[in-house]
Amino acid sequence: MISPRAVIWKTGCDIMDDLFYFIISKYNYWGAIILLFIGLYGMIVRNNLMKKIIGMVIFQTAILLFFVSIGVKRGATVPIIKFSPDKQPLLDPAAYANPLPHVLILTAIVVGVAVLGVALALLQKIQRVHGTIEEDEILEDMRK
Amino acid sequence: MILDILVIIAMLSGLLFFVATTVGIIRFPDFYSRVHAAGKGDTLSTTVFLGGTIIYLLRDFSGDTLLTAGKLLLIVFYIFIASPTATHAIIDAGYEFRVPYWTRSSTHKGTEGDEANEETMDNGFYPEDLKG
Amino acid sequence: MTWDASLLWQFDILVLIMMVICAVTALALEGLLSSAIVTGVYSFLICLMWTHMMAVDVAFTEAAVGAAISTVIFLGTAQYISRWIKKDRSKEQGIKQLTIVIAVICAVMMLNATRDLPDWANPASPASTHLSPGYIEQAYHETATPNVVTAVLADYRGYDTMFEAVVVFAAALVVMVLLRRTSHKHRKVLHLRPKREGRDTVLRGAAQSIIPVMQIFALYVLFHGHYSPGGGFQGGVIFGASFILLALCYNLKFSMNRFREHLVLWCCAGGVLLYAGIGAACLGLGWNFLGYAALADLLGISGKMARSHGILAVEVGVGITVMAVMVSLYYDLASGGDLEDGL
Repeated sequence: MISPRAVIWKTGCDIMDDLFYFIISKYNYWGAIILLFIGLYGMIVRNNLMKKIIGMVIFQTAILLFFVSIGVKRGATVPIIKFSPDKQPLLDPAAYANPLPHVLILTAIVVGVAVLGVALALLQKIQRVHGTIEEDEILEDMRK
Repeated sequence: MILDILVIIAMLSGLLFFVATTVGIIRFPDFYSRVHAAGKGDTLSTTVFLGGTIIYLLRDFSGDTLLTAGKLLLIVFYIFIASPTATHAIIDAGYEFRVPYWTRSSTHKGTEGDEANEETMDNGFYPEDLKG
Repeated sequence: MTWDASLLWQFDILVLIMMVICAVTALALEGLLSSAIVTGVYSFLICLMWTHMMAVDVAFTEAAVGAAISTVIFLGTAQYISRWIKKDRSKEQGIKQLTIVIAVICAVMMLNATRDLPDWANPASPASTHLSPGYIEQAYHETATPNVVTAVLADYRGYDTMFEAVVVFAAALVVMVLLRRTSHKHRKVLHLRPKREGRDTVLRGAAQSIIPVMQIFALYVLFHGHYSPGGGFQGGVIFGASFILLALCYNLKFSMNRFREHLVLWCCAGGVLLYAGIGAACLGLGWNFLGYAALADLLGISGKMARSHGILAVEVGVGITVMAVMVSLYYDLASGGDLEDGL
């Protein structure tokens, strides 16, 4: 005879197992999504333009994290071809991490810093012209 | 066996120094002592910890590991030069801008934190002829 | 169900939690200098995550570019803007608070949608089984480059890299156009800095011992991009950072006497010209644009080695451009445009 308490306990344990497995197998996506929305919050809600730029940086790196984490393989190593002791290349695709997302993200990082440079130059210019970097004060200044 | 024990001792003491650095950054009363704790403790703990890593690598002696150990040694050397220099630059900048420093006053014996010691912060000892 | 975790998920979750804390702190701090430093810490943490995920080229680039250069230009810009945010946050009410509600709803929906995404680190996921095994197997035989990322970056996806070099070049030009001015009359520096003649002995000694080694290391990273993590971007950024270090340890003028502004512009343009020139040379010899095998009979070597040397040449071009762009960004941003006095 299985008591109802035992059934509930087993169901609870199963649910916790499911949840645990869900988190463990998808946590990189979760991390990227949480950081994405923190960055979005920073870009939209915060008044200060510097905070908006920092929000943009957080947003960018969250997307890069998402993209690179797609190409990870269990048991894989750095995508640089290793050689056997008699100079033959060891070309087993399952042993190397996926190199294609890395290529795209390399480009994205450097373009990201270029965009950051332009954003900071615009920030200095806005400070010079309007005298402030708070969004509401800039809007008031522009309406004058 | 003895190399393993040495590695464990090195890494644990590196971590201990790092915890001490963190506690120092949080608990010291003013800017100068905090940066001092950060600079010294950071350098020492990183050096000791990476030294432990070097010994760990050198347990099986071969050309490969010797090369990697040499590179790690270069990293230790670089951190040893660069980190105290950065600390010096930060403190120098603070000194130029007359960041107030903490002095002990008899009415506030035993308290920590800037807020309690606000009135004992003074710029009294800056030389007048510091080039501005 | 079993979870065969040969990747250390505990480490990753810890670093992710620290990153979330850093992100929230960077957005919540009142002082802008502190926010800039915390953003640098955030970049270092994500670099750590990528090293754990075996994405070493990406981690290298992020450490050099994201953690170092972007922190320096944040700090350089912070001299010219007000350094504290306004205490009064009443303007962030109303419709902006609605954004938070919508963001939370969207986040929950996206988190639910991850149920359909492939498991993390699964070797049989579609991203790892459609196209990339072909690249891993063919890259060494066709281009004689063990570093598959460099081979794909400079050979198979060479167009992307060329336009990326053009984008950073354009960014340097835009920053120069926005900020450069020559008159001092309108200079409104919010926080007066004391004038310095040069730095003191400690900084000069450290600069003298570190900068030459840094530049040699940058050249090593550039030329060893075929065999180790590295390549054009990382080498160029480290080389540019050596000039920024010179400007930080001495004066901006000191660094500018050694790497003048018009030479910086020449290097910016020259790197892109080298890259596109090699592509045009391949086109002129009868092959595709950026098809390096055209250089085989020109140089008298096999097709594989021609592609390897072509990759090296375009990496040199990218490295020159990125170096000059980082230096130019620092010159313009840290001096507020008039190139008189830096950080």
